Amino acid sequence: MNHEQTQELLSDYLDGELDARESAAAVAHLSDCADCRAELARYRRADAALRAATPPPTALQTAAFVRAVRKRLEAAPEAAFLASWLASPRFAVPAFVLAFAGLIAAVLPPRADAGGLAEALLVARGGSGTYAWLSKSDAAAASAFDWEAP
Amino acid sequence: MNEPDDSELARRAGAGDAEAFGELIRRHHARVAGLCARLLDNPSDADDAAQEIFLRAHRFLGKFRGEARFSTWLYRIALNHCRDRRRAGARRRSVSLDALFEERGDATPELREKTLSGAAQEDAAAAQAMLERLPEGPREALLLRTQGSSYAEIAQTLDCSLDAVKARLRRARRALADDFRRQTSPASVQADSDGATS
Repeated sequence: MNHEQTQELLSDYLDGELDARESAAAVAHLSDCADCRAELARYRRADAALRAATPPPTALQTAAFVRAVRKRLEAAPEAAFLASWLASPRFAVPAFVLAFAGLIAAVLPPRADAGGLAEALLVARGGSGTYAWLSKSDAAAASAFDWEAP
Repeated sequence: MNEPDDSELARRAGAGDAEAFGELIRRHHARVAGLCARLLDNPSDADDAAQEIFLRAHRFLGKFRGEARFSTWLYRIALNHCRDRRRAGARRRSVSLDALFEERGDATPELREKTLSGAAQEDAAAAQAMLERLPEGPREALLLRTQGSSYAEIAQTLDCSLDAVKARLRRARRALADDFRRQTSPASVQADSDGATS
């Protein structure tokens, strides 16, 4: 292995990622090349410096950290539960089906018997509420009913 | 009795077991905190970010399927969160080990001295400053590697190939080594060189 090839593979060598043949060739070159040894030393030094820059937290610090996270979780349990529920397939699948059904309903042309829909909605809602979200034809059909509850 | 693995703890935590989630935090706090400390601009940001990463993980435990290791899934959340914070315009970190130790509660100067020698402190500060100048990919790959992630884990976390991991690590280490070469006297390099082959 020549100088350039060894330089190219120094990082892999440092991490033990070379196969046996490559590793032996790298070692053979390193034993003869002071420049490559110096470069490898700098790689090691950089890795060590990065590890040293943030020493691992003590057990006490980790215990305090766990308490802090729990406190924040307890402060907003509903939000955390809602988010996890929204992220779960139990919610995602029905939500997708509903959204898809809504999309289909939105793109289909209004039906001639749209009044049937409006009537069904009125019955379902006990005769009060708003129908602003109905399509025009549905709304027109709905207006035929006594919309405002007494 | 065998300790439950991370996947089992994640399953329990997702079902509402607070103790299981606490154990997951204990297992991964050091690495998440380390990533945050080196990817963000200041230590107080890092601690808050680490908390938010675990909160986010808790929120999305339902999405963890166990196809990847829990640590890989968590570190991906951590990197994304740190990227978001950096991009949100957090001010650049001025390397200050005093602030770092103070914020981490580590310390009196005596304790700090026990933790890092003067030369090691200089190296750590220099490496952190160099790290800041690296592009995102090489920087994140090297941070994950120095925290003990395997090449396969790094590839999964960064969503790239093994060859890309190797290339990013080479690029990062070469850049850091170049900086060290520029700032190091020939005598100390020779000492390093001798140490490398011993």
